[in-house]
Amino acid sequence: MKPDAGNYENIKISTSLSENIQNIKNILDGSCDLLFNEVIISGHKAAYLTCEAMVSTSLLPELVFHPLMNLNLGANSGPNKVIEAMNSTLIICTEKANENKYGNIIIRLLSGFIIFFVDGADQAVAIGAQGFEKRGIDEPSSEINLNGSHEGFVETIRVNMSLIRRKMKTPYLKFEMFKLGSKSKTDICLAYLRDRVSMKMINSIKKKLEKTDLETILSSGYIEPFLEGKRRGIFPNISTTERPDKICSKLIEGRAALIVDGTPFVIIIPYLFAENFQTIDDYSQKPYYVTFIRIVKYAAFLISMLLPGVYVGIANFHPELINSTLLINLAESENGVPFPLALEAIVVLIAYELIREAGLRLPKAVGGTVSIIGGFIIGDAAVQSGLISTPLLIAVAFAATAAFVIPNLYQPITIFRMLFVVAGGLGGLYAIALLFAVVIMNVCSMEDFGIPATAPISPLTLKSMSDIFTRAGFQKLQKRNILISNLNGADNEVEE
Amino acid sequence: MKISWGQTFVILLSARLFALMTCTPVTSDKNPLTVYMIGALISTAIQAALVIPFLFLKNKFPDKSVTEIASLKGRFFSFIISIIYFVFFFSSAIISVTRFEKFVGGAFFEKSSMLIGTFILIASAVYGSYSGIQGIARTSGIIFALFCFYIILQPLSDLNSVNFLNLTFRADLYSGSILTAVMDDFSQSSQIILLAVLLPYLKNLNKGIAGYLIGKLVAVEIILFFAVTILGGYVSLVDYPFFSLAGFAVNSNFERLDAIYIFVWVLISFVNTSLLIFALSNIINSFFCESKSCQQHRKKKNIRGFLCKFRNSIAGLIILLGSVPVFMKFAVYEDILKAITGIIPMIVLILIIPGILLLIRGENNENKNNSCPANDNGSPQRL
Repeated sequence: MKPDAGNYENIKISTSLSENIQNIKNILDGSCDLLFNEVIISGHKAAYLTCEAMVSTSLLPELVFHPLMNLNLGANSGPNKVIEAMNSTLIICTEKANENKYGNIIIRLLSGFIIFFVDGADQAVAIGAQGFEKRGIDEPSSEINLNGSHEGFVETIRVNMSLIRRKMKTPYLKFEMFKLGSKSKTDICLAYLRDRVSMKMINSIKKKLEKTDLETILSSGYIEPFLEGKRRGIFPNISTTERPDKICSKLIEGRAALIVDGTPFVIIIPYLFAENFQTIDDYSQKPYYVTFIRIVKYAAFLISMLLPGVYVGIANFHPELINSTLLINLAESENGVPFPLALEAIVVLIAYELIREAGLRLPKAVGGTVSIIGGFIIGDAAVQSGLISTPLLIAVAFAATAAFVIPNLYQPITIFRMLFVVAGGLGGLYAIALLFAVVIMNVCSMEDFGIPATAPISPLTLKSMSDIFTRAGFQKLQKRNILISNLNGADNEVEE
Repeated sequence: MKISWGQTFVILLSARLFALMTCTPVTSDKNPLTVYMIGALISTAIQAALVIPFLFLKNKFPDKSVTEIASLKGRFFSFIISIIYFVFFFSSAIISVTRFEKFVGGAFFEKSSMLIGTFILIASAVYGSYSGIQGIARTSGIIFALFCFYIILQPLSDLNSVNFLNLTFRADLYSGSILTAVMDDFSQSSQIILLAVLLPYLKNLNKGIAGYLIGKLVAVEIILFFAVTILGGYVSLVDYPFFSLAGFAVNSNFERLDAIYIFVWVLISFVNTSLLIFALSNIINSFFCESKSCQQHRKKKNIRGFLCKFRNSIAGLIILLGSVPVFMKFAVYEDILKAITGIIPMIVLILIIPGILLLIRGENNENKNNSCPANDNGSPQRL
């Protein structure tokens, strides 16, 4: 049977060199980035195939071509002897494999291997000599820190694995490779510490990965939904990071990391809600300052989500809550505004999101201009013309700024901020409290692999609380030896 | 998935605090609030004794609710027991929801529709009940922490108004009122009956119950202490004395703390209503799901499958419909509900029925039972 693009994976290669080359050409439909050359190795006809710009042009002549051209096995050696010599006598490179099926050969060829066929041999040799262009290790733009490492993950999976391995020189660190995506064949690597992780969780992750039936996986976001628990919350319960040091700190707690080739964002499984308020800088600053910053972050979360809604609710339904001086000031400001307070707040919130989105998508220089025009000129003009009141604008601006303190939660906060304004406008603090209860319930019902997102706050694990609202000193933290699998409440086992 | 003893303590205590908030103790010169402090102590001791059959049941049948244990004694018997508990939780839910709405309406939104308020509360609680006992327990843990914060904040704001002269007790004058106070506290402690449904979900029940009883006593005594020492004789003039405490609390930045008070109590009422809906949905589950095809029922597009799948929503709808006559001031109906949730039915549900279940020898063995144990979110499990 002739292999083609739809059916080639399990077909064995032929012993005829020309047939093999023709079959590869057929499978790839003569794609112009496929390069092949016929050579003679120790008197035998051979050919090598590569993908253009995927192999290292500097490594090939020195490590591969030179030893092979000088190979001399004698006149009576068969073609399989050449293959054998390539495997045993010649130390060409560390990554070598013999393949006899087109499926494996194609994957390796398209991953940057050089494939050698020898006429008459029933196997091909794949030599890892990848040399494609890649981004250098750089500081992650989304997780900038002050005192820690400035290394960030890149798009190449092997480099990312090495970044983790360099920081965790323990034999317990294990990497397991998978290929996902029927078309993209993306490399996915599951990393964990064998002595810390729950193997039930690892098996469960593998099962979930097996269930993915996507054609392409171009970023970690493609597989995140497959790893989430049955009850999907509004807040994220799987997170990503660009920082190798953060991944190492999570692995030590018994979590798993999933590295996806082609993206610098590595998935952390499972992820707790409280971790949205932690940064790697917390562990290189003084505990008292970190405690202060954590409290500021929790306050920022509540302010960013609730402030406009509570302002609308109190002004509409509970003016008795505010002291008289403030109340008179607010009343004066709101007096000249022609719209209901809730509507006014929603319009301002939408206008803010509009300006933010425009500033984000445009080139940096223009984006800044848009922000200035939107923020200063339109905002000032709207207040001057009496379309919106100054206190409301302050409340919205304050809430919007507070949201940037916890960037991971920006998306849910934005939506809930609007909903709280609607609730405050319709039912005052009563409706806000009920919506708040629903939000808490939503977060509390989230769990991944049996670990509640709200752990260790609820269910309460006192031992772990020293790194939630506060940050204890390392002398105390080193005694905790907390494993994520112990945070699931009533000694329930980690779920599959 | 089970919940820890700490979570058991928190959910039961949240439900008890909810009852305390909406209650209006009948006080007078001969029956001051001080008496209720003693009444709470005696009532707690009685509850500690009455709860023993539940502890024995848990010991004997660690993974079964009362209705499931009853099904071991016979299908008809199980049906009767389920009906009794269903009626109690139904009445209890209506009373708590309507009391709360009356309280919110009376204190804050005099012009708003109580029925709409009830609908919103029940709709949110139905969502909460779908999160299962784990979700409810975790939520109540966080809300309880907020409540503790409030409990600290309020006395700090009220501290100048505390008058220890109000804290008087004369045994010769008030001894007759103690029985009323004991009965009052007991009737507000119906949440202990929730154990009938929650038994299979609880770990370390003894510790949980002990924690609840002690915690409840401490919380009630603290709140009563501040109500007595701050409000004094004014208690008998106001509808909601514990709420009025917040009105007294004056802070330099907030004029009054009562709006914050309502915020905390709405959260607690959400937990309480979610818990009651969860309990009702569990009993509906025991009515309509049979052992052979528990899971299939939910998938089947027949009426039983529908009832199994949406039992939490159905429980919510039943409570909402049951609340309508109360808002229409149908006095007889309200009296019936009060009678159902009175002290005698409570004793029957805490002591008599669990006692009977302990004493009667089962007709059927466990393998022949017709009940369908529910999982964490109340959905049936395959046997």
